[in-house]
Order: sequence, then structure tokens, then C-alpha cells
Amino acid sequence: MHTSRPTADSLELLKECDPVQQGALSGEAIDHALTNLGVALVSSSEGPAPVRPRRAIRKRRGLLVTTAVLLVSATAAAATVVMGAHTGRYPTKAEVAVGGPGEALDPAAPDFRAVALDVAADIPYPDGYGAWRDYLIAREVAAASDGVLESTGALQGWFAASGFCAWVQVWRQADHAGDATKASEAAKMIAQAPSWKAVTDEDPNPDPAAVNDPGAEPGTLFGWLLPYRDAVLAGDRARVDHLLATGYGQGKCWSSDPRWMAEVRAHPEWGTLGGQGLARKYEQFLTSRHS
Amino acid sequence: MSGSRSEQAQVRFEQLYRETRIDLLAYLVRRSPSAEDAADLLAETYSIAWRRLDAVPEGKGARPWLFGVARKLLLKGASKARTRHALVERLAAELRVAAPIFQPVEDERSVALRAALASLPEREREIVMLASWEGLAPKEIAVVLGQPANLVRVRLHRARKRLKRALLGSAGGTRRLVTGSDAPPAV
Repeated sequence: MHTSRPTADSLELLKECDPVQQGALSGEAIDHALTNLGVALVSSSEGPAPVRPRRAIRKRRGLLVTTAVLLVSATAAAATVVMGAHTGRYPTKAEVAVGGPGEALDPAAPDFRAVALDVAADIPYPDGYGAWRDYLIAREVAAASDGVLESTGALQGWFAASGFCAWVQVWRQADHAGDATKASEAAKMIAQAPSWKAVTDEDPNPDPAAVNDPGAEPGTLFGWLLPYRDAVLAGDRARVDHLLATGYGQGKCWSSDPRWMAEVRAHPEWGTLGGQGLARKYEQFLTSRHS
Repeated sequence: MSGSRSEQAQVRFEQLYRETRIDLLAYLVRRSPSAEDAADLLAETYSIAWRRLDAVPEGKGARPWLFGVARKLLLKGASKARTRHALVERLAAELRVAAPIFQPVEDERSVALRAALASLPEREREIVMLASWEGLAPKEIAVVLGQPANLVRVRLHRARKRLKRALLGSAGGTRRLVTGSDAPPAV
């Protein structure tokens, strides 16, 4: 399995602590399982596709998962505790492609909330929607686990999605209430959102129709902002409500709404409704917020 | 094979799969938290290779390309939410049977070596593991990591020096581990 080298050096020595012993994977049973898997891959999945010039978008940009190397450095773990949310670690080019740019933050650190609020400072939330920002931070903290870090770029992206969704709520409620001034202010923010730095850092050219891998939904990372924006600028509240109710887009605005998520948690029986059933519930929830 | 896929493509993929699957499985087993994850990521890596066969480099370039895909999937934690195929489960089951492969050896020599490896900065540690355990050349590691080959060479050189120092700095009994080209100069 390994390339032999002319002289024994530190790399040769390290082979002695390879957690996978030589020959351990070459048994007949594993070989048989691998062969069957290979046959299934060729026969059941889609065949070779033409090379596309456009890079496939990343579906989940939030987490930078540090590789589980079976070797955990105790000193590194200790350093994390001392350093708090700021790890001082910056992703490699390859990691940026899947985890976003910027310093890797530790959501499990005690000062993560303060650091996250600082990261979110550039994202304009409408008045009265601070709970949305707090909910997002709490969600990231709850998702924290050993070895999982989150880049500042990814975190800003989440805040951008959450802030954008908050402005969409403000617009639809102002439009419903006939508050032209407030609706206009919200529409202006919504129109600017695709140009927010937090958005363009991760997706310089948001496009809802970009072709992705076979089977994947179309659109770049923040392409989903544009249909909302276009519906708002057209004054089409029914269209906005439809987008919201169907959870359209990777941002899935309903997942940013702490009141709705509290409703979902309070009704575990909704777990059997499926996507369409849940969309109807959310539609009813949105309607109730007008009253 | 369906009529829409060329026989040539299938032959090429099967050869690629045959020649690289054990090495790639070993790589994923080393870095995945479980046999299920390793099996799942292996299937996903080759599924991508099959779908994007035109983008897979010919010849020796294919292997580091596959490692690069697998590494990205590892970084994404891509196996967490997937519904697993029965044949993936079967492979995972066989890996579980071969459980000793997940048990690190605990003798003094191995412990010292692992400690030396763990003492490296993360970027260097990954390069060292790719060079030592996967047998990849610096140029191939550069493909896996998406970094310039010169940068990888420099980091690998530094890492080897650090390893030497770390091995020398470990318990007295480990001094004998440093041999050959890494042996310290006579004092």
C-alpha cells in the first residue's frame, strides 16, 4: 500500500503507528463487498456527465469539520479552551470551498455568543428582530460538538440569510397593514441584500438558476434571495407568501423564525405531516401573525 | 450498462475502482469516526468519480484526484445525513468484522510515534499522514490539498524536521527510533 523509500526516515517510522494495519483490508469478505458496491455504483447511478464549467455549489456551508485522525492532540484541545471562540486557525483553500472563508470559530467556546454578535454586526436586522439573531446563535451553539468549527464567513452567511428573511417578514406585514413607508424601507434592504459583503464573500454572483450536480436543486448558495427580492419589488405578496410557505431556497426562511420553530417543537405530531403538510401549517402561522 | 453510457467509460471506471479502492478505503477508515462513515464516503467518492469521469485525470493523476474528493467529503461531514445503500451497509459490516484495524497499538514505540505526530501543526500533520500512510508524493499531496506543490514540499520538509525533534524529545527509550537519514549528527 505504501511507496517504499530508499532510507528509513521519520515518515517510514510513522508507518508503524498507522491505525490501519497492512493487509487488514485485503480480506476476501471486504473485497467481495467492494466488488458488489462497485457494480452497483456503475449500474444504478447516473453515468458520466459532461464537465460543466460552473463549479458545483456547496450545499452546507456552515461547518468546518476537522478531520478525525484518530490522533487527538491534548495540547490542541487545551489551547481551544484557553483561546475561546477565536481559534486563530484559518481554513485551507480546499476548506474554504466547503466551509466558507475566515477564521475558524469554536461554537462550543463560552465566549462564542459575544464573538458571534461581533461577527453579525454588519448584518442589518430590522428593529424588533433581535430574537432572530439570538436564535441563530443558540442554534449554532446547540449544534456544536467536538472538532466542529465554523468559519466567520459561514457564520456571516447564516446571519445574512436570517437578516434577509427578517426583512421579508417586515415587508409582508407592512404591505398587509398598508404601511407604505415601512414596506418601502424593507424593500430597499431586501433589494440590497444580494450585494451584502457577507453574501458576496461566499457567493459573488447569486443565481437561482445555476445548474448543479445531477439531482441537486439548482441555484448558487445565495441564488434563492433573488426570487424573494423580485416578488417584493413587484409588490407580489402572494408570491412571497408562497416562497415562504414552501420553505423555498437553501436559506429556508422558516428555519430562521424562532416563533415558528417553537411552534414546531411544541407539536411533535407534525413530524408525520411531510413537507406539504408542514408548509400548510406555516402558511396558517403566517396568516395568524397578521391578526 | 445502459445504452447512454459508453462501454469505454465503464471499463475505465472499473479499472480505476479496482486499482484504487483499497488505498482509498484505508484513507477513509483512518479518518472516519466509524466503519459506516468510511463505507459511505467511499461510495460517495466513487459515485462522484463515476458521474464526473471526464474530469478524472488519466493515469497516475487519478489517485490523488480521488483522495482530494474524499478529503472534501470528509471536511463536509458528508455522510451524516445520508440514507445508506444496502451494499454500503454490507461493506460497513465487513469493516466492523475487521475491527482490529481501528485499534491503535499501545506499545511504547507506537505511543511515542503517535505523540510526535500529534505534536505537529495540523497542516503539517495532514501532509505527513498523506506522505507516510497513503504513500503519496508531494506533487500528489498538492493535488489532494489544492495547494502548490512547492508549498507542500516546504511543509513536508519542516514536518520531518519537527518529527525528528519530537522523537528526540520523547522518552529516552525512543531515541533509537531515529535512524537512517533522520539520525541526529554525532555530538
